Amino acid sequence: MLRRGRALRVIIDKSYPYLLIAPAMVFLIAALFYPLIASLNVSFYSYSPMKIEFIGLENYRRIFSDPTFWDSLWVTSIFAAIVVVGELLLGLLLASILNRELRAGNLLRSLIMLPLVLTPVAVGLMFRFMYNPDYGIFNYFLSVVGLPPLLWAADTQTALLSVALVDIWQITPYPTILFLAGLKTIPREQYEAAEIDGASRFSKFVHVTLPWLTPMIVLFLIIRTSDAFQIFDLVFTITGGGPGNASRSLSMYAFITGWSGLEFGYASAVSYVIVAICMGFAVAYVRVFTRKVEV
Amino acid sequence: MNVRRFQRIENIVVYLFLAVVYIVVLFPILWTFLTSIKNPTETFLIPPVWIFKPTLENYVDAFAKKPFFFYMMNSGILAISATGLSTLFGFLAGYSFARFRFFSKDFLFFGILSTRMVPVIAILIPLYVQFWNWGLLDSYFAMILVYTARTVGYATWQMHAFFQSIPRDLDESAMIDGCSRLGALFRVVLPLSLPGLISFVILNLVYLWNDFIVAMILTGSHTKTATVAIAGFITYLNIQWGSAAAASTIVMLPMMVLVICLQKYIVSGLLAGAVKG
Repeated sequence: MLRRGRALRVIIDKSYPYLLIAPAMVFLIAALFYPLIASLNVSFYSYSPMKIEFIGLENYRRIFSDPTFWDSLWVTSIFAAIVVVGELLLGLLLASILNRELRAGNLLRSLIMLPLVLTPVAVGLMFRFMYNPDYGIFNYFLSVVGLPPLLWAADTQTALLSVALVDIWQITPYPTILFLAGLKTIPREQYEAAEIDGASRFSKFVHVTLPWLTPMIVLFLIIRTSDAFQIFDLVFTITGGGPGNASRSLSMYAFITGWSGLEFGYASAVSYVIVAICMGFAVAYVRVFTRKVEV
Repeated sequence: MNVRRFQRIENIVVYLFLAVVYIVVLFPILWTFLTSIKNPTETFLIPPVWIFKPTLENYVDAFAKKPFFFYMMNSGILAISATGLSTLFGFLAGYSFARFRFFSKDFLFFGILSTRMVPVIAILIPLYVQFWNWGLLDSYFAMILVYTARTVGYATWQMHAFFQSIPRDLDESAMIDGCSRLGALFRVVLPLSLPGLISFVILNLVYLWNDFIVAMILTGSHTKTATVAIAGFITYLNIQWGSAAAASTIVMLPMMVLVICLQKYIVSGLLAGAVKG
């Protein structure tokens, strides 16, 4: 009796960690891993409400010869480059300024967070209003300072940039907060040592501040590049991907082929390109994060 | 003397720069609010009118003529339920990863952590097809399932980080004192990790409240969320900007209140893991 009790205990103890993970795993398998694999499967089919037919790699072959896809990949890459670099540089600048002793510094540091938590769909819609060439406020501001009006989101030349500016407006608080916290942890002695060596302000930034912030910068670059490659909400609300293909991101393209064109198979193949790109970032992310965890 | 003058000039430059930054940050929010309390005729006036008689007409339109309150309630129900579930299950799973050694632990941990990076667009088609087959489209159940799955991986990781910062001895000594393992978890570890838990809950609520793409595909007339309703203002002709601004203001208001009241938690949530100490 006693022995059986002990054996049971051992089994319970051994399975304890798995039992604790199980509920989370159930959700992840049901609504994340399973659909992710199912979606890969769908990408090998010509899959529409009318017919379902296995076509092997045909969808992927089609991707290679689909100029609209390459347009979207290009548009998304440009978008990612603009917003990630813009947010990084602005974040560094704002963090170093907000790190000074300022009047009402606390108020300023908390106000800067506002855009970050706002609903992207609502933000996009409101910028769409402000970008309007006829009655938008931005063209009024341009006219006040004597500049010619722009078409903003309605011009193939400026549509993508218009979306990118909104993204920068909304997300820059994130690196700012990140770097602000990072700056606070830099030991004063490091700067003092540099000052004794007669370092200029710029060289202090390059030789003390930047190396100290590097882990955070790497983390920011990974997370944000991956996010930027998935941009959808702002594109959907500000331009709808247009005019033409000027601001059609990969997610937007996958959405249009899937939900307007009802080509589920092809849309899955396109979204698997996004998965492949994000997978690369996920590997980097896990590496960086777990290294941090173990330190 | 020269140095002092230089510093004064620098100060002026810094404050001027900050003034520009904060005008850029705050203006779009202010303009949204102003548009929401303007008459339809004033909405399109260029040059804009800054002083006008405010009206609540747009809010009446959004809340009395359209069921915008119902959409907000849906958003709230979904965000709160899914956050509750992923906090609880992330708490348990995070505890397991932080305190036990077991077979395939690293593999499972990487798997769970990487779910944060899975693009939503890639899982929507199978989810849609599956829920359609089961008759679960436009149901709270389906939405809560997906929202929980979207967030429980990150929850697990965050909780794991909190638990690692709590000394192992504490829960072990509680167990020696006669607490069961779960007893120790809820009586000793939970209170200590509460600040981190609150940060996670707040950021998760914000994330789910703001979600658009999942809700657009999987909800219908019974479960439509506020973000889907807002996107519904986009039409080819004559967008009703006044009502759109009113709806946007109301949707964003709870988020702004959160930032102002609970900024400490939001900051620490954003930093979790990125900055040590």
